[in-house]
Formats: sequence, structure tokens, C-alpha cells
Amino acid sequence: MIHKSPYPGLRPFTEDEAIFFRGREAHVFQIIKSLEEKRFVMITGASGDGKSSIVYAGLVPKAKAGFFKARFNNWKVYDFRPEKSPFENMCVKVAEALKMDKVYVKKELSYGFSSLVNLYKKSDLYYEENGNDFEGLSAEQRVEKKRGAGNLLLIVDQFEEFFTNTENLNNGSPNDSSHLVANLLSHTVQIAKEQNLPIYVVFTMRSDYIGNCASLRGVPELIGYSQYFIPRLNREEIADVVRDPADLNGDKIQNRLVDHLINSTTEGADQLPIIQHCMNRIWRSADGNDLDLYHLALCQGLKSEDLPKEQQELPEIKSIPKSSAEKSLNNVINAHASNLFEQSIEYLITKHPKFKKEDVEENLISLMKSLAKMDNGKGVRYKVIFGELVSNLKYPMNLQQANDLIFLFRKEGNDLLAPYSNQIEILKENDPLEISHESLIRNWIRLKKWVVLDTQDYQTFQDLKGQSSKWEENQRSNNYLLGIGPLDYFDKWFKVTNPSVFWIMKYEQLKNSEINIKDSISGTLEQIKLFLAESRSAIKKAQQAEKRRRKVLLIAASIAVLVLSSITVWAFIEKSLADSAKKVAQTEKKNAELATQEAIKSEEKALYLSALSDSSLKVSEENEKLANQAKSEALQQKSIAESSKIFAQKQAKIAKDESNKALIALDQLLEQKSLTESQRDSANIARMEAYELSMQSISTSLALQASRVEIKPELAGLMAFHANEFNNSVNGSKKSPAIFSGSTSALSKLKGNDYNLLDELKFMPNDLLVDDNEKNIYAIDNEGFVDIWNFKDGFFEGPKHKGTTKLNSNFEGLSANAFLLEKSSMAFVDLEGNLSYFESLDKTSPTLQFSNHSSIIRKVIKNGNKLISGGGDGKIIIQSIDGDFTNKEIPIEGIVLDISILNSKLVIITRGKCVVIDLESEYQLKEISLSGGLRSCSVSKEKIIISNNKGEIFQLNENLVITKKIQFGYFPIGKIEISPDGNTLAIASANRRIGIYNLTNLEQDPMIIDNVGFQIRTLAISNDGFLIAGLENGDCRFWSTNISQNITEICANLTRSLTKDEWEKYIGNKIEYNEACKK
Amino acid sequence: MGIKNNNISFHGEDQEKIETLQTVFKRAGIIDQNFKNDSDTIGKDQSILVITENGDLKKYNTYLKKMNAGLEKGSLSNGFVWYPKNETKSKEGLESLISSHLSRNILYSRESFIIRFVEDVIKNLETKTVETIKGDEKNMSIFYNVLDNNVGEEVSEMLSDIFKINKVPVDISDEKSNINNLSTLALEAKLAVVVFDQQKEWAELFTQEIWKKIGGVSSGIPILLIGTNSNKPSKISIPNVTLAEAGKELLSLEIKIQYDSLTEN
Repeated sequence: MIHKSPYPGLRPFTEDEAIFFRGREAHVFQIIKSLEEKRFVMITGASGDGKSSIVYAGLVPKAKAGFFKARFNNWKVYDFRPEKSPFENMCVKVAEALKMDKVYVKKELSYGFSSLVNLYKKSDLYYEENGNDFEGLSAEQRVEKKRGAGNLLLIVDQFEEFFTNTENLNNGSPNDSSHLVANLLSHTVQIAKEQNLPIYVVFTMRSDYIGNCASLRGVPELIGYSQYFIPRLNREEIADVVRDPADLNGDKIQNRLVDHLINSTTEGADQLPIIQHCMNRIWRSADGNDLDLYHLALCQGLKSEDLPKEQQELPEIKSIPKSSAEKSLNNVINAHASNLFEQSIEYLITKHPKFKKEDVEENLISLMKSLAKMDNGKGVRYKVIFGELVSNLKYPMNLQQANDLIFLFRKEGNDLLAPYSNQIEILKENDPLEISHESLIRNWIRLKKWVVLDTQDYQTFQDLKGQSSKWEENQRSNNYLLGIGPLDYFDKWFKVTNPSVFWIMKYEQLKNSEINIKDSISGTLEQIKLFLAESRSAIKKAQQAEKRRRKVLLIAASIAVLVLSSITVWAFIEKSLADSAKKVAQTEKKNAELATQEAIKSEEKALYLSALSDSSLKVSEENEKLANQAKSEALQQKSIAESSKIFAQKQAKIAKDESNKALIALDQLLEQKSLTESQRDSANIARMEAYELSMQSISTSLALQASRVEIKPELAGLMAFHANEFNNSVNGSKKSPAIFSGSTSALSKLKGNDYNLLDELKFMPNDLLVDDNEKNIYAIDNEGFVDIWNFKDGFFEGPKHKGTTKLNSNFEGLSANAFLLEKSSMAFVDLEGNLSYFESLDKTSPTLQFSNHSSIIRKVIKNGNKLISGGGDGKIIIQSIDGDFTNKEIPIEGIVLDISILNSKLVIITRGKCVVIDLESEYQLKEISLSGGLRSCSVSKEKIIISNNKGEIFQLNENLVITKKIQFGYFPIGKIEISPDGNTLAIASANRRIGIYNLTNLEQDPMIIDNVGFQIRTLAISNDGFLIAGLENGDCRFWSTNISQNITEICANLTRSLTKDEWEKYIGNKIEYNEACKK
Repeated sequence: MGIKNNNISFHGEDQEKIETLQTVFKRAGIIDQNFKNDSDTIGKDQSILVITENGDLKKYNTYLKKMNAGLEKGSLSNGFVWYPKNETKSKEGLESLISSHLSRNILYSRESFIIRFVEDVIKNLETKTVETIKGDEKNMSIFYNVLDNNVGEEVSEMLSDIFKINKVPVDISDEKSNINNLSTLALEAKLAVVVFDQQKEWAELFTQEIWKKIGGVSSGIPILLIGTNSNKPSKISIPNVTLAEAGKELLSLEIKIQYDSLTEN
């Protein structure tokens, strides 16, 4: 059983979740009463008051479960939302409900009035009990007719969509399609009431749209006739909504959380969705623990300082990021949605790194805005077609990318956008998309802001459209174009908003003259674009004319200024030239005097330097000669060295090339060799496999034939023998289920069907025990009879019945169960929890009696000098049976179903858990929850095997880690037994089959015994591999789990081998003839 | 209203508010005109603690502890803690103190309007007077739709040889087949069995409704939803509801096996 959240969150309860719908029972029964009397009810209430949930999780399941009294025993429910095409939607659902052709239904319903009733009467759902047709039927045919008949429940959910979806309006009033639906439904109700037909009609609608109904003929009369207004939840109902689902689901909820939610729930809108969403988040945060205030704080619905002191210090609470948002119940939706918003952007970028974060964010905002709008100041949902939405995103995305963008909002458990991921995993182009509940628009602060801004944008658009229309109406006169200020504003707005047909359609209504709304809006947009362009162009033209006029003025002014400026400049230049000539003459004179003095000093210095340079010149001429000689020698040496190096490099290259060639040749040789070897190996393997397959198929075929009824005993035995031989030659000792089946079948034929029956049993065996030392089998029943057989001559010789002992358990009432413990000690238990222990069969009265349990004991085992028992009272009792007779009690959560001991640990199973307890300390070491309703357990060699009611077998290790899981049919597995050597596992299914598994490899196919004939009550396995089963009819039967034992026994009963003809017929001539059993 | 209980004590530090509260209780007919409050004893049948901003946290702590002790011992049936909401911010630590002491039988209200608080108390007392019906007189109650009469009759007949059973054919058009009567029959037995052959959808929804009505997992009564294997197996998933299927002739046997496995006491 999957532990599901009993709180749906923001979305309405589905029919499947009806089991957790609480707090509205009284209202549901009142609605049923109204329908029984009047055939119609209009359910109204504020947004978020759970109208849809009352219908889908209250009314519908109660009707189908038989708590709505009507003529027929079955119900046919058809429901639809008006959405954008109410008549179409209605026809689809009527056709489905009445199993009729949609085109036919559409045509019929288009006539209005009684058309719907007529269709119902014609359908298989209806018959007249007093009619001739019915009376002429046989009793059996009448039952069939009754089974096919059904009452009809018509539900129009979210009736307000007739008024909120602009497609359903025509100049602000309902269109023809809406009137037709109203006509059909109002007349159906009237006729159903008059003719006492089992047709019932329900509308759900937000109460603030009641006034709009006046425009739909017939609907106001219906509302006046029967209306149910859902009141706000009172304190008790809120408590039921919060507490009951947890109680029903087996979860625990702290009272302080319930009280806090009641006290924090405001009277305003969204009372119920806020609680439902909050509880869903809390349940998920709690993750199986008690639901508490602490989890509300984790969901950001409570300040940490308002928690009880001990919880304020918890690390998870301390690590909650501080945010400015107020921590209240309403904030849980806000925090959740904001968190998903951020995560969605991250998620998309991780999957598609090419996108920029800010572009993704803008697309997500635009996507969210498309799903909501303000309608007369109220936030309402707007359903869109996913493909249209995606094609209108600013930054292009494909369908998969857009799916990834909103995945987290649709993911199961979040469920903020519908359809949810568990309904449609990946949205396709034509799938719808919508917000799951309007309360999201009111409580997610960011979304609310976006929607308000979007509405303002639409108002701006309307203004612009108005201006554009005036221009159009006045023959596009320039006088009606925009001025520069408004143009600047609208132009910028247009570029930023980029209004599209898709966006405008959210707000626009269809006009009488407009056949196609998309074309009309598209035309409007084009007109606006032209209007803006013309305004821009007119302003540009006006600006250019102004510019030209200013240019002429500028030129004239410039010329005047130029003339005056030239005269002034000439005068200044002349004066300045005279001043400069004077300054130059003075400077030239000073320079001439300084130059004369410098020339005298230079002459003296030149004479001294000339003398010094003559002596230096001689020394340097000698040095130059020496240097030139040395250089010439060095050049010669260098030239020799370079030519040697080039030669050496050439030699090295040649050597390297040769070596590479040799290596390549060697690699090729090796590769060739390896290829040849592997081809040879493959061929050998293929030949071997082919041989093995052929042997195996012959072996299986022979084994299967041995089981056939028409095959005579001796032939069946020979077939089983050869099947086993062939199987052994290819599979070694691996057990084959087919050969096991063939050999047991052959044995039955050779030795008779009852060769494996342990007879003379008095009653139904409750438990079996094999004593391999004494070679005894004990069978015990709860009447106190113990039967003993001895098998020292071998099982196939037939175990000998040694006798029956009657024990007296000394209970006041009947014994409920009996357990064989070890050797010949045993225990009986009664319904009251009493236990009688018999040390041996020597005495007919109990050795000891205990009353440790308060209800029936489900299992008793013996461990040394202690009896360990577990019972329906959820207790394990460890009782000493000598010395001081003390006992210890270990409480277990749930009914104890089975107990085993594994390496001084106690393994216990209850319906849903396996628990391991240390026998010495009595501490619980581990536990694991397992599904499917556990039935039985057994242990061996550090393995724990557990079965359940769904045919599943779990193999776990000592640490309770599931190491294997297998399926044996789909019926409960009541008994499992492991052989003493720990290699064989036998399981008994309620389907009367026994499966024998190889415990060292559970994945191998099991050997199956499917001719048991009766329910199997108990199993035992002897040391030499004989399986004994105690059956519901009082028989015990045995089988060998060892195929070779069966074959040996078959040989002992054969008198001949296959003839050559038989060999050729059943085996073929490809395999050499062999005699059977060395005969 | 049907509730009259003078065994109420009122506690707190705002005497004026406590007196007003008593007057409203008198007008509501819950206490007599001559009622005398014993504010020293927490341990009357019902105790009401009125909390105000300027009260002493230590005293409230003592009151709340005594209230819980009384509830545990059984000397007190219900506790009510009333801390009316007002404009001012809560005293630091007060909310935390109260939530540390809230147990299942304490109703904590932050209702600001006295009349509504008293209405809530009355509603709570009314709810407590409803007794749960549970009996163990039968081994099992077997429910089936009348359209599956053949299967239901046969199973009931076979099992009645070895068990005490309630045989419950459900007829939608029969007034007696209402949810209260049917859930009472389910509560009378150790195991509720819903059997179906053709009426699978009915059986699944009927099981859900009965499960809800008797209290789901908390009822302690397991439900077995069993059908013939002529249908697709049921896939509903409800805690404490076991699903099974069997051939028509084996239905009784499978029910017996499941009964052995599912019941105790």
C-alpha cells in the first residue's frame, strides 16, 4: 500500500480521493435530499468553498455507493465544464454516457427542449418496468436489463464560465450555444420531475455570478426552484477537514496544530483551499512523523518563535531563511509558489544551458500571466491551449522546453497547474493548461501583481485602440493622429508589451459582425500599427518642415555675422604683425652675441681631442686583424660540424622508419592470429550452444510429454529418465522445472496417484515437524490429535503410520491453533490468548500453561528453555519454562503474525513491517516497512524470507536490506519453509500451488507442484530433501525436491527401455540410441 | 440544546472577563443562574482558562499543567483555553507556552468575539456526547449489491455454517440501505466483507464510503473487498482495506483464509 497524502492541496478532490473528503458530510446529504425531491440543485458558494469537491468527492461517490435513492441500482454520471464551447462539451459527454454516436447526439440535441430526455429513454440505460418489453423477458434477462440500466446524473461544473469566457458571449450577453444548453437542461429537469424519470441535474457556480444568470432563459427559474448555498466552514468542520483525513489515513496529528489552524483561519475568501494546501505541505514535510506546528513553520506558515521552545532549537528550524513575508497560513501558498518559480528557472537552465536566466524568467512570467486575468476586480483563471501559449513566448522555446519550464508546477504533490503530471506527463500542442485553483491568484503575491499589471496593459491597449478607431472613423485625417507626447508613450508601450492576438483574446468579446475573432483582432492590431506608423511619419514630416525654415534663417544670420567678424579680424592681424617683427629683431641680436662666444670655446676643445684620437687609432687597427683571423677559423669548424649532424640525422630517420615498418608487420601478424583463434572459439561455442540448446529442447519436450495424460506409465517414466539424462549432459545438476514436473507426473503414473499420501490422519494438520534423527514425521491439529509416521525405509517405500495420540489442552473453549516446537514438544493456543505447553507426547495433559496474552497467539517457537510467543495483542512474550518461570514482554506495533530466530536475533513480522530484536538486550535493532500485507516469514543462513498477500517474496539480509524480490502468482502466500541445509525454499500460495526455489539463486525458475488440489496449511522439509505438505482436506502429501531421487525411483519401477522406434519417434535419429537405467 | 453542565470552572486573572463569560454561559443555558465559580479547583468536568496579554506566564504554566494532569487522571473531561485575539502583538513566549501544553482534549481558541467562543464550546460539548457504536457480536458482516445476489447469497450461506455473520444485501432503492444503518452493521463485526461479481464499481465506492463512515484506519475494523476473478482485479488503494479475488466456487474459502489472517481478539 502506497502511503498517499490524504490532503489534495489546491486541486479539488478526485473520486479516488473521496475517502479523505471530510467536513462537508451534512451538506452532501442535504444536496442529495434536494435532488431526490426536485431533480435539480444549483450549488453556489464563494470561490474556494469546495463546490467541486462536494460534488466529485461527496455527491458522486455517495450516489454510486448506493446512498442516493433512485430508481435503478447503477449510476451514469456525465459532467462537463462550459469552457469555450458549452454545447460541444455537453454533446461529447452525453454521447459517452449514453453510448451513442456523437454526430447523432449533436443533431438531436440541437432541437432543444425534450431532446435530452428522448435520447435517455432510447438508450440502454432506461427501461419501463411495467412495459411489455420488460415483462416479456426471462428472469435472467431481467437481471441483465437491470444491470445495464442506470440513473443519469448531469453535472455542469463551473457554470460561471458561461459568463467569464468571452467566447460564450455576444455583445456582453450569452451566445446562442449557451442559450441552447440552458434550454435543454431546464426542460430536462422539468420533464424528469413530471414523468418521475431518474435524471438529476447539478450546477456548481461561484455565488458572485448569480446576477449574470438572469440573462440565460430558464436558469433563474431553476435557481429559484432549488439552490444550495455552501456556508463557510465552522470551527468543528475545519477541525474535521484538518484532523479526519489524517485519522483515516493512519497518520497522527498534534492537537496544537489543529487548534492553531482553526484559530488562524480567517473568515475571508479561500478558507478551504488555504487549509487544504497547508495540510498537504505539512504532511509532506512531516514525512511519516506526527504532523505538528514544527512542520507548519518549515512550510513558512508560522514564525519560529511561536513554536514550543523545544522545537525552536531544531536545526531545520534555525536554518529557515529569513524572509520579509509574514509567516501566516496564507504565506504557505506564496512561499511554495515562489520557491517553485525560482526552482523552475534553475531546472530549465540546467536542462537547456543555452538559455539566459533573465529570458527564462521573462517567459515564465508571461506564461503565468496568460493563465489569469482580472474580471471586474476579481482574479479568475483562464484556460489556454498549450501550443498557442508556447508559440507566443517572447524568447522562443519548443514544446519540450516549455514543458520543462512548468514541470515543477504540474508535478504530483505540487499540483499548482493542471493537467497534473500524473494525468498527462508531457503536454502536447493541443492540450489545455490552467491554474488549479483561483486562490493561487489571490495568494501568490507575485502572480497577483503580474495579473494586475497585465490588466493595466489591457486598459492601455484599449486607450490606444480608441485613438486608432477615431482616426479610422475620420477618414484617417491627420488631425486625429497622435501628438508627440502620447506617441512617445504608446510607442514605447507597444514595443515593450508587444500585444499579440493570443493576449488580446483573453479579454476581448466576439461582436455580432465578427465571424472570426482571431481575424478581427489581427486586423485591429494591424490598424493600430499603421496608426502608430502614420503618427510617427506625420510628426517626422512636421519636424522636417520646421527644420528647413530654421535653416534659411540660420544661413542669413550667419552671413551677417561673418562679414562683421572679418573686418575686426583684419585690424587685429595687422597690429599683431607689427609687434611680432619688433620682438624678432631684438631676439636675433642677443643670439648673435652668444654664438660668437661659443665658437671660440669649441675651437680650443677640438685641438685637444684631435691629438688623443691619433694614438688610439693605431692600437685598434692591430686588434682588428687578430679578431678577423680567429673568426675565420671558427667558421670553418662550424661548417664541418653542421654537415656531420645532417648526415647523422638522415641515418637515424632511416633506422626509425625501418623499425616502425617492422612493428606494424608484427602487430598485423598478432591480430591475424588472435582473430583466427577467436573465430575458432566462437565456432566451438556456437556448436556447443547449438548442441546444448538442442539437447535442452529435447529434454524439455520429453519432460512435458511425460506429464501428458495419454502417455502410458512406463513410457512416461522412460521419457522422464531420458529428459533428465539429456538435461544433466548440458546443464549439470541445475534443476529444471520441466523435468521436476515430468518426473513427479511419471511417478504418479507408475506408482499411482496416492503414492505420496500420508494416510490415517484424523483431522486437518495445523503444523508439521520432521525429526530426522528418529526418522519421524509429526502432524498436529488444533483438536489435540498428534499423528506420527516413520520413514526409516525411505519416503518412496511409504512412511509407516505409528499411531495417533490425543492430547488435552485443558482450555475452556476451543483450541485455535497448534505448533510443533522441537522433537515431540508442542504448544496449543486458544482464542483468549492462553497457551498449553506439552514437553513430550508421554503425557496427555499439558506440562505447563500460561496466560500471557490478551488475544489469540499467532505464533509460538521454542528457543532453549524459553517459549517465545507473539499475538494479536501486539506483544512478544519470552517465557521461561523452567527455573523461576519468569517472562519478559516486548511491545510491538501491530499484530504479530510470525516469528523466527536468526543468530540470536528475533525476526518478527506484522501486517506491514518486519522488525529485528536482539534477544539478549531486547532492543529493537532494525525495522522495515513492507507492502502487500505480510503473511509469513522464515530464516536461514543470514537470510530472511518474507511473503505477503500479493504473491510477493522478499529476501532480506540481517540488516533488513531487501536483496531480492520475486513474484509467485498474485495470490496470498500463506506458508514458507526453508530446507535444513538452507538451499531450498518452498512456498505455498492460496492458489493451491507450491513453488520450490533454489535459495542460493532465487532468480532461477521455481519447480512447481500445481496438482495439490486443496489449500495448503503447513509445510516441512526433511534433511534428504523431501517436502511434506499438510492440506485443508486433512491429507498430508510428500514430494522429493531432488529430481535424481525421483529418477532413481522411476528406474526402480521400470521393466524395459525405449524401443528403437520409440526412440526415433520421441528423440530422433540425431542422438545415438541408449538404454534406460542401464537396462 | 440538551447540554447542561454546572461542573464548569473558570480560571484566569482578568476577573471582569471571567464574569462576563459566566453571564454568557448562563444566557446560553449551560450553567444555572445561581452558579458559583470555584476558581481554585482545576478538575471539574470542564475547565476554562482565560488568558490575557498582561497575565503572569508562570501562573498560566501552572494552570495548563494542572489541566493536563486532570485530563490524564480522568477527573477532567475537557479543557478550554481562550486567548482572545486583539490588535496588539502577542506577548513574547505566550503562544509558545500555550502550544507546548495543548493535548487532544484541550480546545484552544483565539476567537475575539465572546459569543462565538461560547458557541464553539457548546458545539464541542455536543460532539463529545455522541458515542461511538462498536460491537464484536459477529465474526463478519457480508455486504453485496442485490444485483449480485447469486454470489452474495451463496457466500453468506456457506460461511454461516462456521461463522456468525450479518448478511447485508444492499438495494439502492431501499430506504433501509442508508449509510448509518449499514455502517452500524459493519461496526458490529470483526471484519467487514464487501463481495461482488458484476457490480465492481459499486463495491469499490461502497467500500470507500463505509471505510470513511466507520473511521478508516482508526476504527480498527479491517475491510475485505473481494470479487470473482471474472472482473479485472480491483486496484483501489485504501489503508486497512484488503483486496482479494477468487473463482466463484472459492470465494468462501478465500474469505475464510483472509478472516483468519486479518482478525484477532
